[in-house]
Amino acid sequence: MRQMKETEKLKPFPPAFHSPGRLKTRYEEGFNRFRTARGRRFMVITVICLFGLLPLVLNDYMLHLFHAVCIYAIVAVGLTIMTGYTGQLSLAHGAFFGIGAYTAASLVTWASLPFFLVIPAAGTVATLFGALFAIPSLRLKPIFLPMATLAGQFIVEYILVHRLSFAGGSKGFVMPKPVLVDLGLETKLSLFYVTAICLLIIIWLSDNLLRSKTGRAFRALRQNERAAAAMGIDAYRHKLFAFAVSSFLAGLAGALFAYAVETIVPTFFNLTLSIEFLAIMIIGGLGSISGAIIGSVAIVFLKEIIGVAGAFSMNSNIHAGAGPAIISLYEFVLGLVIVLFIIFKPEGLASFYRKIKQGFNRWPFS
Amino acid sequence: MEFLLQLSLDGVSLGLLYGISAIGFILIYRSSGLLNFAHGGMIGFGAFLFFALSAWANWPVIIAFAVTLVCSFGLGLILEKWIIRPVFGRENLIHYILITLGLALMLKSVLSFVFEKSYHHLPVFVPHAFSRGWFGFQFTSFHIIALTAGIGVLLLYRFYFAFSPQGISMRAFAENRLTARTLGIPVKRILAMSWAISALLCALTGILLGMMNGPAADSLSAAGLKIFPVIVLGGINSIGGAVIGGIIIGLLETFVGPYASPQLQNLLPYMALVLIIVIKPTGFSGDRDFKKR
Repeated sequence: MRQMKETEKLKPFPPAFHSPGRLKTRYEEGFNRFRTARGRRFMVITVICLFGLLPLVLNDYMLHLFHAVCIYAIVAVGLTIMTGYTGQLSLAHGAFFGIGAYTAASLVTWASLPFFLVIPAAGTVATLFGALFAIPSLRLKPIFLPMATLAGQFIVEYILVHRLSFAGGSKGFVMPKPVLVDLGLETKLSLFYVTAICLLIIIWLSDNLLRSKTGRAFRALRQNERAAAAMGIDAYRHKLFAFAVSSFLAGLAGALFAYAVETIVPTFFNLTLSIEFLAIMIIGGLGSISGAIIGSVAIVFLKEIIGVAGAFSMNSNIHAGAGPAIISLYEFVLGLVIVLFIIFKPEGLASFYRKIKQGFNRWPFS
Repeated sequence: MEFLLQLSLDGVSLGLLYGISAIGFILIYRSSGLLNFAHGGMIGFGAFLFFALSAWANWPVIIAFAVTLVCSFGLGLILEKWIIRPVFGRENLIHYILITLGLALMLKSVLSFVFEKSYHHLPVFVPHAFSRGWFGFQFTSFHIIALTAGIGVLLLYRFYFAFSPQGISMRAFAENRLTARTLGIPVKRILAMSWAISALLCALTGILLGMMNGPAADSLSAAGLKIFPVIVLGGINSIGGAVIGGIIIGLLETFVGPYASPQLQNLLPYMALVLIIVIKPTGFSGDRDFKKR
């Protein structure tokens, strides 16, 4: 009786200062997202500092970069679910991103829908387009999905450039300012907060999804599809679900991108953008959400550093036609980074983060 | 009618070129199970090297051609040794595809940086005096070269894989890797050879495509990606199917330009790809292998 009481009195989280060899003593502890209350507190403080306080002190330029990181991270989280966990590769996420942006811009321009309807609508349209290419190819060998989505990328790019003359064609589509009844979404800062909240909600939901039965099914499919199917996992349905989630997130991020940049140009959503999204995964590390976030920080800053270097050389007027040269340089560096990471560090930058975290956990025995 | 015949001749010549480069692609796919997205980069490498040697260095056409083929062979060996071999043992489709995508970006950006995206002109082997009309066809030097090269490569390929020891061991390796290994077939050499031959065929295609409409890094790497409709049409790992698929895609492309819209020309192969995946993913060869996971 007395023993029972003691187990009931156990707190939901184990003591804050844990020793290295701490083992799980109850079944329910396996469900906890954070091993210690301290970890959860640390997470909350980090999120508040990073997303709540940091934007207030950043200047406009840095805020813009931070905004871009958040938008890329949303796509990357979607790709983590599909590529990192389920093992399916899509080359059309740049196109889905573009579909989201164009859907948002046209819905706001011609239907003047409010912000909170536009965002899911953009994601839904991107999902429908994705399903067009994914449904036939997901039933076949895994090499068919990259080929079908490659075709999808070119088809969507063609539609955006040549068939949407009412939406500005190749000159670009000007996005009206977001309108909402009470919130003043006109400033960059409030728009950033909306994006950041979207990102946090998406991270929270997808983390829970990946810890659920569905997430375990995804991982089983990645390891061995035949064995997973033998264990009663419906391979086709799960792969399709992962694809739908990730293209929905790409479309959603595209809508946020349209709000952020205000003028969308169709040639931006090309194959290189799709490869860029995949490079995020490789740089950060396949198959972890923290990897997706670290990778998007890395890619945005890489892009910006090369862009800044290019702008500098254009100002100093060494090379007259430096625009295409900078694009070539960026593509070269992107390709080089992908190749080097796959050869030498396939687990990505997230492994450094994990190592540091482990070091703190095992202190003083690290 | 003459216009129709001429267009079909153009289409068949273009299709044979697609067929040649598809053979190189399938060689890599069968030996290492890898989708080579860097095919366009390899095609561009051949075309631009030939351009640089013949137009910038003013070498005779034949020597430049031979040196280009040898260099591409070397490029294939280098790529295989430094980039593909480190990841080969992983059997990870995502790594395989992404590493070739990265390679494609690198090759394409280097070529478009060095040659600055402007249009160039390649010399032709066969002088224009040879071009003549025949039954309403207008044989230009390009058609002659493309047809001879296509048929020649097919014959050479056939003989190489039917009779030479290297070709036979490559076929054995593609058939069953483990058994081939136990029988003492050198895996590394097979992989290196498949990449080298593929790069050689790519260079040949690149030179001929460059002769047709001027080498440009963008259009050549786009031609490299058109491999995918071709091989899916042919049923991913069959050579004969790839040649037929190449001819069909080539005809489709040439007929769509004048009869529909030139913008659709680059798009139609990909629409065909999606349609084939929906209707008949085995392609022409009818291989049951497509369901193997």
